[in-house]
Amino acid sequence: MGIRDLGYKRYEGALLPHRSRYRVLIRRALSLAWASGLTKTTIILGMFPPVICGVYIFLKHQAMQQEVVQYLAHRAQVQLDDPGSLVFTCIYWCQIWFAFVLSLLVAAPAISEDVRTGAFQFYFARPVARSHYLVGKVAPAAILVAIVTLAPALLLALLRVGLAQSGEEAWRSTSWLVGTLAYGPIYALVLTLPAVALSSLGRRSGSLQGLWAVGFFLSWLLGEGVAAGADLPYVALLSIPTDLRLVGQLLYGIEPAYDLPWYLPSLVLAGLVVGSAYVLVRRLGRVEVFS
Amino acid sequence: MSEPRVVADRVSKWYGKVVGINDFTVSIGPGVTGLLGPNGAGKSTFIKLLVGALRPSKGELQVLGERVWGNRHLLGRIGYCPEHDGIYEDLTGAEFVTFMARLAGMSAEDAARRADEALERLGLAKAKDRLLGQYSKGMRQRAKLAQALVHDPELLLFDEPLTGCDPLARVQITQFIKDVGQAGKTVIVSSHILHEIESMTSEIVLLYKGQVLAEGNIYRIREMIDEHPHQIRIECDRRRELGQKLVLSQDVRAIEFPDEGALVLETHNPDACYPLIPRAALESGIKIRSLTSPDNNLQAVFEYLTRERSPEGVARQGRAA
Amino acid sequence: MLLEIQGVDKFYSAQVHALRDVSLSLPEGSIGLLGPNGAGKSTLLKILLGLLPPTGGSVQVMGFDATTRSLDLRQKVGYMPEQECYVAGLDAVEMCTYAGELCGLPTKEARERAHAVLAFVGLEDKRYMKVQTYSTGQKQRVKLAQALVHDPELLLLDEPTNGLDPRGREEMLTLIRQLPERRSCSIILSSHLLPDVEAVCDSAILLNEGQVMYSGLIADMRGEERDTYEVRVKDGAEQLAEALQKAGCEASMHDGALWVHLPPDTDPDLIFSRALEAEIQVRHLSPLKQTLESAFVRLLEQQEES
Repeated sequence: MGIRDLGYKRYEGALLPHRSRYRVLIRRALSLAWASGLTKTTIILGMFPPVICGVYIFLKHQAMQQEVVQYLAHRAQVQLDDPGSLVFTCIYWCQIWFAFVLSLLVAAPAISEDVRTGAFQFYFARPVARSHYLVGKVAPAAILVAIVTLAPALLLALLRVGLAQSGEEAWRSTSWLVGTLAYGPIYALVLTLPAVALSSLGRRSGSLQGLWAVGFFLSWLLGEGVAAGADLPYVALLSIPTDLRLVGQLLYGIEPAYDLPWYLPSLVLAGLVVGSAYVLVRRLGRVEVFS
Repeated sequence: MSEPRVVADRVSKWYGKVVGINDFTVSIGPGVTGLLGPNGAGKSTFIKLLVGALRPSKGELQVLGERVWGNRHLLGRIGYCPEHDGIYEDLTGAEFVTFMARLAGMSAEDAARRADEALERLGLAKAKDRLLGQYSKGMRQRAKLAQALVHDPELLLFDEPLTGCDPLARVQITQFIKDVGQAGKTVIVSSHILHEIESMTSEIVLLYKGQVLAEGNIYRIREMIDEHPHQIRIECDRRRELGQKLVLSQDVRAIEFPDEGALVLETHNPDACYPLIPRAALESGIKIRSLTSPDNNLQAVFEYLTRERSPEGVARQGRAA
Repeated sequence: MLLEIQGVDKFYSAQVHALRDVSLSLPEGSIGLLGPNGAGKSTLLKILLGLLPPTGGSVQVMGFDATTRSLDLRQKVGYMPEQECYVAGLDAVEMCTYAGELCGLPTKEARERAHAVLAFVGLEDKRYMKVQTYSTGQKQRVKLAQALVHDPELLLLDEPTNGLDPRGREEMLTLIRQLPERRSCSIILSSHLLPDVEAVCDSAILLNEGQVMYSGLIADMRGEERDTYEVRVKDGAEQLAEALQKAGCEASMHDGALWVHLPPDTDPDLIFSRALEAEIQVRHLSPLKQTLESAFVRLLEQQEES
């Protein structure tokens, strides 16, 4: 009864602990990313190759349409008897495009957009620590990349294990299940951490995205081109995608593309990841929250 | 008013179908005139027309007796201090003002000499050899003002001259603008911040939705706003007794007791009421502590005129014009 | 105590000494933060938010040590920045909800608060539109809204009326003035527009070159000249001045107004009676008060001389 006071009211509710910020930041970034049509399309399209591979594994296992399968396998230059190779081919050769596009769309502009819109003042004038922020920038991109790489690969691996007709076959198949579990996170980190580190360097998202694309593909072209043409396999280490490939081949027990000491590609990638993390922490530490 | 320096006669400027200003008629003479209005009222459009950056779609615009569009010679007699910032960061103060002077057509030696004088006048003599990029906001505003008057123009246009300036710079620049106006130049100052304009001048041009809503002296305009009768606030003891005496006068439209110790009187005839009040107080021995007109200022004029105007108000507008 | 700052120094480098031995002790209330550009105001604000550790000295804000408990401190502080501040791709409701969530409010509560706070600042009609499409005035309001979502006890406002047209400015100042009454929060308002500060604040901190020039009530800073009145008349100011001088007052002209210093034990009635005799209309009479602006300039000039 009576007239209500609609003015400013106090807040007397509960408050969540500081660690809830991780969840809040990641959730919001994911929903923003999903809101973009391009990102949505990329993820959805990225589901197709794994589905095709899955169907293929299933068919092959059912020994149906052998000739067609043999023919296709021959065309794809895939060793059919080695399912690990198939999963690897899928996760690397097919999915890297989608993973890269996602890292371009989500990771590369992550921090530069915030610099441009003055969002640092928004975040850091609140009880948000720099660690919350950092995780909140890298994790969403890594999660999206994992959705198109780790998740399908895991499902395919599980499918193969599930289709095994004997305990021994199942046991053999789990080896590259484990490989996938190791490879997935490395993949996600390599594709997102350097991109986010790059995005902390400036405010023009477009230029930084371009820089990431150039860095990625140019290194690929140069690395592989020079290595093949001049027969200098060590040069191939300069190419990020090649290093990723070599590490994957190692984990899946596949014949490596280049004759190099087994630890070198891992070392290069580790260096990249650690270096990016360092750059990020330094840049954020020095950021002028507001001028 | 002496010979007006800016005359606009039914000037309109449209961007396609979007109106910048519509059917503008105004004349501005020497001294400082404030140009104000809500966002989107047409202030920037008008200023750009005055500096020849835009051409009127319709109507006649005469600046210093000549048409300004395409008239390069006339631009040498106009000084413009724009709102935007951030260019020429790598020039020193002296280089910047000299450069602008040369653009206005001065010879190299004249330009350098006048630039020094202008910077001196604005208190930047010591800083003139530092890069503009290192200047504080107040100093940058002053450098822009210096380049606007280095060629001693007759008409000066200042677009938001006090933005970002600290209070010290504000006081100095305000005084400077007043001095320039007193020296006989025509100065048009556009600003959002009413008390800035009030401290510089009493002559204004009020724009609203692309048209001139009012022009002239603030206080005369206030007197013309009939829907809002003049308010006089009296702080005294025995206020109700004073109110009792005042209410008997025909000129008093209403009496209010808004808060402790004060009485507010409304009238359509301030000339009759102002002498009435002290007379009534002195007769009864009531001590008046203060006598003020709370809404006899630019803020009130602005508010009353730009709120949704009533049909009577609109009709009265026609009469006054 | 709202602020307890002792001996705070801040060096950005060996040459850049942003704050020198700043000591302040201020109770709750509305405080203006004033000073020329480069005086150290933003540095002080950053230190108050716990974002910048001082090189020396101690800072306690609302009882929290700003260096060790900065996260808890920021729970209770709302900051309205001067510069552009929004998160790309969000509309006003989402942004304010996000702001609340980042302060620890559960999502549902945050959303409820977001709507309430947007209504308070007058953005109900536009709340579902993306913030990047807003006009300057609307962006200012969103900035205020996001500072209020978590119901802070201390509000830091940095040039809140920046870019607003006269009506917008009035509305913003009205909103800000309502807050201490409704919520009993404290306000620190940093602005170059001294009339804004006068309209909202009771006390002020004046910084210059990293040092505190003044900290206390604005009324004390201004000072009132006893027995001196500012008088404006319709016509005949000089006449009145002469008449008053004959009656024993000191009268001088200042920019269109008459400053009259009355002899001891005299009422302003004297001014009225002389004016009535000479048939001069007195339109304004009030005790002469310095404006904050002139007090500010005076304090700075005093410092320059010493």
